[in-house]
Amino acid sequence: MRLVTAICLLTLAAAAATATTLEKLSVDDMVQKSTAIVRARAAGSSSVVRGSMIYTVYRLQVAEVLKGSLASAEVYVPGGTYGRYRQSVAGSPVLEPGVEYVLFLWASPRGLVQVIGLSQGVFELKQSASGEPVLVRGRIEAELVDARGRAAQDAGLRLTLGSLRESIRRESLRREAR
Amino acid sequence: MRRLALLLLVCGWPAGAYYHFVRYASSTPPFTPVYDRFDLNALPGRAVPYFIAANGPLTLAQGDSETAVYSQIRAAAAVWNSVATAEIKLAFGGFRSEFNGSEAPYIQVEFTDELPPGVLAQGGPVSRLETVDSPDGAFTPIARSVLRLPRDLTARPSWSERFFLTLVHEFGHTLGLQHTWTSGVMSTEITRATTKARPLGQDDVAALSVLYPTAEFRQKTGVITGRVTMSGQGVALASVVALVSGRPAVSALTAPDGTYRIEGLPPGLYFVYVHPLPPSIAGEPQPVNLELPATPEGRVLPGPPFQTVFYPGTPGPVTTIAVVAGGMTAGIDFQVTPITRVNVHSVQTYSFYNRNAIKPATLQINSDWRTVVFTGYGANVLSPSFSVSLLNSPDTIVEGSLREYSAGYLQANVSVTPFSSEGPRHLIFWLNGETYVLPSGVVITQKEPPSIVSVTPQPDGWLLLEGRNLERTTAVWVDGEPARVEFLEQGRLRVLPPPAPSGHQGVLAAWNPDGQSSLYTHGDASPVVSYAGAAEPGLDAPPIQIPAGAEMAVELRGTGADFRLWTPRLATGTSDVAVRKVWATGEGTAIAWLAARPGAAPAVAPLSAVVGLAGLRLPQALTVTAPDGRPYVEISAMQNQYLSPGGAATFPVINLPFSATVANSTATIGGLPAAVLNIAGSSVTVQVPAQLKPGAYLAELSLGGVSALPAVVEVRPVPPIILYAMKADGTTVSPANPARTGDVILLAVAALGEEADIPIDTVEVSSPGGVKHKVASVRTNPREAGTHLVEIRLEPVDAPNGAAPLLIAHGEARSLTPFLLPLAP
Repeated sequence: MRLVTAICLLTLAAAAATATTLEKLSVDDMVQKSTAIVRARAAGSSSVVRGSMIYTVYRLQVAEVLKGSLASAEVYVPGGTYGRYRQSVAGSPVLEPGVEYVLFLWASPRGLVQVIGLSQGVFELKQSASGEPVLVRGRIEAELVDARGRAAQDAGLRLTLGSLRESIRRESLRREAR
Repeated sequence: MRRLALLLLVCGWPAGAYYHFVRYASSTPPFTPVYDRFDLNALPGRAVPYFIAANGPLTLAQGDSETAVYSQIRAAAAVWNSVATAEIKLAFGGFRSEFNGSEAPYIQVEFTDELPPGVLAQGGPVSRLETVDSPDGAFTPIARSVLRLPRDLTARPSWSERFFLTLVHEFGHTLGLQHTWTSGVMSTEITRATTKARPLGQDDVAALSVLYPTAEFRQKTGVITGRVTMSGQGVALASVVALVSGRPAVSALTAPDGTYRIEGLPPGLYFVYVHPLPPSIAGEPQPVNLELPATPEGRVLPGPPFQTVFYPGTPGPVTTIAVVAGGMTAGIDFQVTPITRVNVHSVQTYSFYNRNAIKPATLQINSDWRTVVFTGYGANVLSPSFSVSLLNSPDTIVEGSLREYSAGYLQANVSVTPFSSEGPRHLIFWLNGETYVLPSGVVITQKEPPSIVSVTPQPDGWLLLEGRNLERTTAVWVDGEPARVEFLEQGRLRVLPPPAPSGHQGVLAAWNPDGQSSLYTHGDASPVVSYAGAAEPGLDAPPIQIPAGAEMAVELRGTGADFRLWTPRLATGTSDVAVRKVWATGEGTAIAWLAARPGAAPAVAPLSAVVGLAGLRLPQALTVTAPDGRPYVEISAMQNQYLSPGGAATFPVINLPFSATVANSTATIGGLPAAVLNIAGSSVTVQVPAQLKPGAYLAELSLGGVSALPAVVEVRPVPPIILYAMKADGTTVSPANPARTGDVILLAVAALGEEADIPIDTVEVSSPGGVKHKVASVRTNPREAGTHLVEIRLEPVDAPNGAAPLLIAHGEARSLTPFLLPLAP
């Protein structure tokens, strides 16, 4: 009974939700499901209408492609302003000019390149105290507590660029093995 | 009470509540919110149509079907129509995937393969940039909204609680609502405490009503206002919550200067607390789970984290605040203390039933098993500085029962008193002196959820359901459509499933008013109704041509379903033409009333219909034409007329030909000739044929040789008339023998009905002001054939000029003019 219920719980807890209803993705999920992972800065943006959606299209200055390839250095983020209209999509990231990001990208069957899981796939690239490049997502690294109720960090949401490269390498090997 | 300030509420609100899509017109106080919302005046029938783009096959869970998915979408939309204090209504607009953008506002529901991994659903408005003024305040009108679902729905079966609540949640976004943290359907799945059987919380009701208030909203509910400051500075985007044990919470977010306004509070006593927005958790947007409001200077960011505090500055609930209907309790201010980070938040609770995890934790008063399992940030490991309690409840967390459940999960036992009442309980978590309140973290019910033990088909097409906790108030649904239910006895129901396409397999679920459903018991193993060999529901509508601005009626014919039990719904495929109402007129016939928006552009739209679970794409089209001068009846202006057989019906006609006279005009109602009595101004008066039974009928007018667009009239029973009144001693009440309050009075009534035995609970005698006089008996009047004697006890009533006005109603029949009963002073 206890095993069964624990499994039920984990199933339920796995799907966090937001404005847009989102499914919580681990870094490994994102590595696996992304069609491209890049280090890039936003070099400007414009808006387009595609079907029912207004998208903000960010042009990227790509410094490095960590996984896959990009047909064009553009990423489509749902929501934005086009002509006399504004589309609100809570959960869409805003890419600030000048900031260096690691972006987990996904190309739809029709070639629309978006960030995975909206803002889940957006990490700022920063330097740790030891000078190592680390991926940081918002304020999330400072929210957790350990067994004594003290602040702790969530290793799954703050990782070094080196460990990301290793994850990508492992995923690539897994894919080749299949 | 000391700060209770009773003020009459007026339109034009100061800065306040925020759980909508908000812009502020200025960057300095006063911060008047400008909301994204639909302009109801731009919509024919004041209803927003939603179109389902059934564009291609879906990948579904085993046993699921597109018919079931579409029915759940319609059911989720209908949830928002249950908010009585909000004027907005949603209406199924049809199956449609092509849009040209020149119509009245609408909602698109579409399935797409362009949602990236990690996105399960998406909803939100597309608004015009310009601001529009209105008596309810300035707003930015929503031009259309979009609700997107993935084509692959294998992870969320259509019958599940989660799929349904996701749909309700996303529809909320399309209407202009954002997230709150008070466990309503607009909370995220983490803390959401609503269920399929009770999908909305009071916070959701308030949120929608603030955007689209009815006249009653601000009369029936109250307001709390105040300001949240830190070191004298206003705190932006702090969440202020009013709650009391046994009721769901209502909240608002602060404006940039820290002011807030919680609207939509039912009268009563409340604890009020303020908490910082929790930081986003994995899988949520940054920095908080909202599209941030904006001033002309840019986005408004949340203030720094602070210690949660109850009014008036206590760490826990001590002082209640009184809220009265139509009043405002002002000055509920908070001074908050900064903390470095929010360490405890986003807690979800579970209980278990039949090996299924139930969220939120739902406990039965008489059960032996009352354990709450929970997990969340800061609430997932035991520590000496961590504790949990119930907010101001007679029920308690059992001391010493807090323990680990499994890695990352804790559990605690709840002690429920035998006198406990049903409803939500709020949890308070404490960690190192930090407070976190989880509204509706536990729900208390009297009984266990309903269960369906057996389903036995009956020869007449009904089903016999046997199980536990199947009650008089139990509703039974097949997929997203309610079935007809007859209560036999406790645990036994007779159920007639809604019509569905032949071969369909529908999931059967019983819902109880306490919010529990048989899905708790059976989950994915819920019983299924098979429609193998069932008659295929079908519907025919004529090709429809309607000029912009006009109203008309069309006759519908169908097969495979009894329309008297399952009224068909017609959908015009355009937001420029609303279906105001459909009347079933026979087993396979119905009449639909349509209204086109003035200014609608000429267009051709695909007609659709819904009969039970069957969504039908009709081969006929609806054509909107430019106004062509053809006469039409303003059907909407006739709705207050009481039309009865033999009586007069006055048709307000637009484009009435100048040449039309009584002599050269004809009319039929229900296909029977109806004498034209008078034509004056823009009105045509016609006699309703005396042989018509109560019901809806097509009315066709030929005016001076010009045919008007068909109209519809609803014929009611001949109105009952109170002829005279007698006292218990048989004397007639008169000015010389007046009645007195409390007297037993016998009313002699004509046209109360043809049957001799009329049940007393179908007869109502009332006076203006909502006064109802108890009906003690109804019997035939031996003195005068065809009349009845209705015995009442006279309640206190205003008696202008020494006479008490009395009205009588029987079913749909009601007296048109009051009988004046002489009353002693």
